[in-house]
Amino acid sequence: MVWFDIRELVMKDMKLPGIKSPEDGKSANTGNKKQSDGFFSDIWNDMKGFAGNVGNFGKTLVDGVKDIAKGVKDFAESLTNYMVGSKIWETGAERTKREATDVLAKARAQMLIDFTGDKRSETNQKLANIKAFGAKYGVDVDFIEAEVRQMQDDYDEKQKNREIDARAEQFATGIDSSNPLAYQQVLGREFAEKYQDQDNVYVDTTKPLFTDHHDYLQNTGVFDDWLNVNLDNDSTQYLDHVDYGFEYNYGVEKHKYDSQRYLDHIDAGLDYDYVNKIYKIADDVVGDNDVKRGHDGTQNTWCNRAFDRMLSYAGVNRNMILMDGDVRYKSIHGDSSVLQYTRANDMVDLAHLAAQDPSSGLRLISAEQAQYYANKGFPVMAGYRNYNLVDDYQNKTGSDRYRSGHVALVIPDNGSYDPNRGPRIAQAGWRNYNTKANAYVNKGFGGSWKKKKVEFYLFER
Amino acid sequence: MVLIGMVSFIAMCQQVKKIEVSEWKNGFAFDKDKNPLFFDDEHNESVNGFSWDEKDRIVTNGIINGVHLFFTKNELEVENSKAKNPTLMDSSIKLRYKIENNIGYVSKDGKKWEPLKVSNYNETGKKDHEGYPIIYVNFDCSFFRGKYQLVFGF
Repeated sequence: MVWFDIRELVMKDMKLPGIKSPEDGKSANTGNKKQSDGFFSDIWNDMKGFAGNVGNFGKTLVDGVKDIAKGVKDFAESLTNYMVGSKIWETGAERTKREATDVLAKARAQMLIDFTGDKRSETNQKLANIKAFGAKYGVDVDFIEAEVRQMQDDYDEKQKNREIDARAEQFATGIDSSNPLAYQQVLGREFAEKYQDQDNVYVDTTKPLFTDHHDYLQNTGVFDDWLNVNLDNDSTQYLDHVDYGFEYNYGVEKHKYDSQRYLDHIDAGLDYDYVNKIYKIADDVVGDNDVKRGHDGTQNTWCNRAFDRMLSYAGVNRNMILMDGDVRYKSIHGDSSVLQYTRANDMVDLAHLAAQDPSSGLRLISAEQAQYYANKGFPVMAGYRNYNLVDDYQNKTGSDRYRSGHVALVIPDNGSYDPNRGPRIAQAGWRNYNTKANAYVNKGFGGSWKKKKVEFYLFER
Repeated sequence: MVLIGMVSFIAMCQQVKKIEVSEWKNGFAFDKDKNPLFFDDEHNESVNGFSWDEKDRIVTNGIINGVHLFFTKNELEVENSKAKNPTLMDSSIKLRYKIENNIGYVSKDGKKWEPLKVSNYNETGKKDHEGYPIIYVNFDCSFFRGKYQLVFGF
């Protein structure tokens, strides 16, 4: 059909030169023939003329077809340009990139909606996903990361200020104008930096920083170092040490729990990844058969073993609260090997000593701070040193023996702090309490908590 | 009519009669005859809980209900454990607890109260491996009952 249309177009409408139609072939020949030399000569001339005409016709026809093909091509290009220009058509690459961009835009929007600031690891994971997706489809996503990082920084700054304000409010309620700079003596650097130019801020110098107990420690110098350490700001020390794991501390073995280090979550708040990890450790350890009272046929309890194991699984260096024999034993047999020498009383004694050395990494804190820092991702020990002697032990053995003390791990709690019950704990002992038990210090430590004999130690690193 | 009134009056007097506390020991109030009246955690600084005597424990569907008791001022937590690991708390119920007229009462909802009977406070004279005295006491209410050992250790 195309051929006939083209031929008709060529023969009738375009009137190309040198092409005769069948109807007027004679008149067309008349103009081309040479002077006649005779009948055959005329025939020969007519044949040559005809052949020439056919050749001309073929050539013209090919040129016409070429012109039409070019026209079609130009038309297709024009159409493509129009469709592309009108955004009706796009290339596969463009479409992929556009749709990837759309997906990322939605992801960005959702991320900004979901952003809470306290779920740092979740935010990091989302950003990692976005960056991987962007890289795959050639879409620039750096601005998204910059935007989210800025939001995180803003959140952290606000959070820090909120905490400072909370502490300021807690201690600035009592006014003692006789010593306007007293706050620097009790509150630490963050507070001092914020309020150093505010002459109208006072605190009651008679109100102790640690309100619950430890009167006997107030003059030991334990708290002096507190003023010189800014825990939250020391990001190089506490943040992003994801790969520390177990090897960092001991280089001995790799444990199933060490994919993320306990202290990586220093700013995580009640980040659920972190909470779930610590809860799993607590539940696993507290449920272990060898920390069950009576498992060995005695009535011994195993709080020290469970506490040590929980810290081991969390990758925490705790050599400062272990007897030398256990430090050596663990260096040979692995960090998670069971204690051989260190009892709960020993742990509290050693913690007490270590806390007086700022370089030890251990710090004495209050009960409320214990919950605060446990929620922040710090390992915290609750400990009771029992100074009561086992009756008749002296008579029987010729030496004294103290009754067992008690230790437990302070675990994150999303409820408000209740000073009557103290921080939330996981423990082994007479009763074993995992996270399901929702037990607090008042339950695990009983009378010693009431008598304000329970101490709390923060593992800084 | 007068007789009925007098009987009612006497009955009311007997009902509100308050037995006086003559002694406190390990959080328990005792009358002059050394019978335990009730447990008050406000008077307790040494007992960390009560564990059902192992010899008397009843296992129902693999669970020991009421295996351990923990008192606070206004609450009594009754802990349950699986028989295969009686040291590990598996679940618990929290009862409200109050003391009126020197009687301890428990309630699940704070509306319907029942007395928590205390009896047979028994200082055996023996000591455990830590040197703590071994003492038993009986508790009895609709939520739990049995012979419980006072827990002094951890």
